[in-house]
Amino acid sequence: VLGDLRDAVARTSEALAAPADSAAWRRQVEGWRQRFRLRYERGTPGLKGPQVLEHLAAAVVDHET
Amino acid sequence: VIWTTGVGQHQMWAMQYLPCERPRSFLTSGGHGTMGFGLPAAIGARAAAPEATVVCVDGDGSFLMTCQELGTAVAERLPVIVVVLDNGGLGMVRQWQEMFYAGRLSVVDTAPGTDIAAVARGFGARAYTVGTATQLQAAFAEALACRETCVLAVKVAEGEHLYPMIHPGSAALGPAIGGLRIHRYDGLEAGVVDALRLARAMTLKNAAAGLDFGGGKAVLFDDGRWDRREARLGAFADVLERLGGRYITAEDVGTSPADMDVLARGTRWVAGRSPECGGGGDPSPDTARTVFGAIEAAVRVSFKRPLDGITVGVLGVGKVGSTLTEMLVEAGAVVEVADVEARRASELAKRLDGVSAVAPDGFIGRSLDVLAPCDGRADRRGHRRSSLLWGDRGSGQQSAPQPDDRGGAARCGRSLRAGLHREQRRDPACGGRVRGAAGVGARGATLVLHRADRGHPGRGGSVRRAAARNCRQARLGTGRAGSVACRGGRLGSCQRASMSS
Repeated sequence: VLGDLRDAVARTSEALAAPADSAAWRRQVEGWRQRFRLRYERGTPGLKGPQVLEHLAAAVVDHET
Repeated sequence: VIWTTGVGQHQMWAMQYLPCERPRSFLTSGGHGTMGFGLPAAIGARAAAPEATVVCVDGDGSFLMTCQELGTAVAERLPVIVVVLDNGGLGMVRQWQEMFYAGRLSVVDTAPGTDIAAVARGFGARAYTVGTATQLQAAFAEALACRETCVLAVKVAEGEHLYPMIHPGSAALGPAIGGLRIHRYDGLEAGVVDALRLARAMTLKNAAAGLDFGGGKAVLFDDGRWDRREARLGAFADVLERLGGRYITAEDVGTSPADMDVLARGTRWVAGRSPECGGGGDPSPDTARTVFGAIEAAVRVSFKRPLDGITVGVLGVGKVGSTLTEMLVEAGAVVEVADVEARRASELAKRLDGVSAVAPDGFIGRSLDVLAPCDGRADRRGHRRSSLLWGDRGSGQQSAPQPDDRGGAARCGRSLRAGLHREQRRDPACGGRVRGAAGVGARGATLVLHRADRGHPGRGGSVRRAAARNCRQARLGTGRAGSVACRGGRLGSCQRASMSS
């Protein structure tokens, strides 16, 4: 959206109020996740960055359910 | 949950690992590089969505840029959770410098030893220092439950790299083109670095040859388990096809036209197939011819004579080097050959008159008119300066550089010559004169130096140092580089690929 900020914000909000159906996109992303597994080095002591994110993701799922 | 991030490795890991399926639940500045974005964004998100759990995933570098906003969060009683991945510096910057700048680290240790938790407590936030997975679980559970502004200072490994990584480059001249190399490397890093180095060389070669292509290179790791070669190549073809023509591959070290035929079954973006399948076949004779033409032209410009009687050293006598040697002998040159596989050099010397085999160690120091490096393995054995063609026994003039556009030298693009001359102007005392340049060789840019200070042996070193500088200048090229590296060629490993175009 290009134009005056007031108009742009209003139109952006309208657009986001009814987001497009992303189910197909999410299925594709999930397919990629299954096909290209994320990996990181686990054999050394100490926390790894991806490992921290994995824990956060799992904890949030537990928190929300 | 609404997630926010700063900028850096933690941002990419957050994108890869966090579950975000609703709009406006992942607030990040994308590629804008606004370090320090995470905490203020989290405060804004919590103010706008009072019922949401807001978690900022931050790095220590990003956090320290706007950490004073913790005071705002505490004062406004906004219970955001900040998880700081503290690796003691700027991990993404360090990764770039390690991968693309030969490990020359600069300004990546921003504030080593900073006690992030103490800083947070100083602003009145609840803070935890975390060093283990167990501590992380416990601290994050408490933070979710306490409804206060919380900071988890999580100590993570330094020097960890994030994959995949896109190398900055440009495809201004066209899609990247360059061969597929299958080689045994000492780990992923070595392969990635080699792919990037080769891609830069391809960039320069394509530009110098006046082709409308950027440079690229693909590296597959030879893990000794290539019994399923066809399947792996098929997987790689799948990768190529998905790149949609942004990278076009061809035969290189460790691959053959037959391999290209296999790739061609799965993708259009492959060159160098066998003649039976409509391709041009093995390109190494063409490469050798190009190098030969470059040498011939450069010698004519530099020494004002034909190749007859000129001494040429060929380092590496594989497919390109052996063909080049045959052409040089045919032209009357005296050729010395060396190879890390001594047997190859000696067999070639037996087969061809006027060729003598010598050891590769110390080859760079031999008295030669021209040196033609044709084997990357020799480079890795400490012959880095061998990527030069130089003449230090000629009797040319001491005039200013006069690049010649005739013959093979015409293949050398303006940008290469301009780079060489610029470097020479920068150091006019080098004692050498770039007389004509010859690029588009088997090992990237090559050049010829006329030794203007003949009779002053003490300055020979400066000539060679200048040559080495010139060569580096040429190798750096214009940055239109691309590479793809995959361990073992398995599709699953493409997560760890480095690619650019």
